[in-house]
Amino acid sequence: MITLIAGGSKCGKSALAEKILSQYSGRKLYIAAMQPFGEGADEIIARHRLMRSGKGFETLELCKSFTPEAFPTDCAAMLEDIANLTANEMFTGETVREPFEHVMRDIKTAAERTNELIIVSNSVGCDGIPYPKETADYIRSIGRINAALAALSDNVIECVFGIPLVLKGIIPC
Amino acid sequence: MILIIGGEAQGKRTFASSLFDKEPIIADCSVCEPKDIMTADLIISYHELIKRYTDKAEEITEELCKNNPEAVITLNEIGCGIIPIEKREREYREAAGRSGCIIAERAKEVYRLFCGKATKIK
Repeated sequence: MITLIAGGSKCGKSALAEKILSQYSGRKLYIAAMQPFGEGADEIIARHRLMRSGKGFETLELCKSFTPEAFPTDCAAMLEDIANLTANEMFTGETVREPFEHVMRDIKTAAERTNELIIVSNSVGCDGIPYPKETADYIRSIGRINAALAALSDNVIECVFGIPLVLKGIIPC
Repeated sequence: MILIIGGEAQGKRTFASSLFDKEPIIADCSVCEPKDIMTADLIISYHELIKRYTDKAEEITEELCKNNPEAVITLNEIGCGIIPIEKREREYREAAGRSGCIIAERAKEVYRLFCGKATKIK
């Protein structure tokens, strides 16, 4: 089963994803696509590590190279998050590349290898601020990826101020 | 508490006002002080107070929940954009998100406004 959880900054999406992942009895994988650079990144990574401690998750920290082919099979996994995964695919090479196909291929591979996949994604298109072309392309890519992931997912949940809103399927916990 | 959320200019204040039988005491968070929200009936644009008191926002929000459990609060959703480069702006968004979660958890009702239409989400 695939569950997509999306929302803005500090809306409780990670906490919900972790709650869903926690209830599976088998091997539990936390796949962090956080980029460990930029001001504030260390703080966020430290906070998320603390939130996960004691929950029995195995952490895979994927930065520049996301290789779902290397995932162990037969486990449940949560992937956090699509904005970073997209940025990694788009901006960390020598040239800017179109991320859609790469992200979707990775997610589909991850979904095939895992019994349960929980994807944490981001709402990034609603601040009404005009951005330079590269950032505007990034926002559009995430929007397009979110729509494709929602079509692929069994459950789609939007988090708003800690309240989960079911857009498709159920809240599987 | 009743929490009313939504984007800018979606009809939050109009909806909030419709919940009162008599003229409410209003705290407008673009100008008021934290003490004013502890006694007001209607707290408008709470994100504006969070912006001015970012470092103490969660503390103030806990106080608000404790002291004014009957308040009606409007709060913009500001976290659905690109994460700002400026530290201060980033902290503001995060404080607004966390403070909103605190209020939403305590609130007996939460409404989300879009195009003037309210959806009850809690």
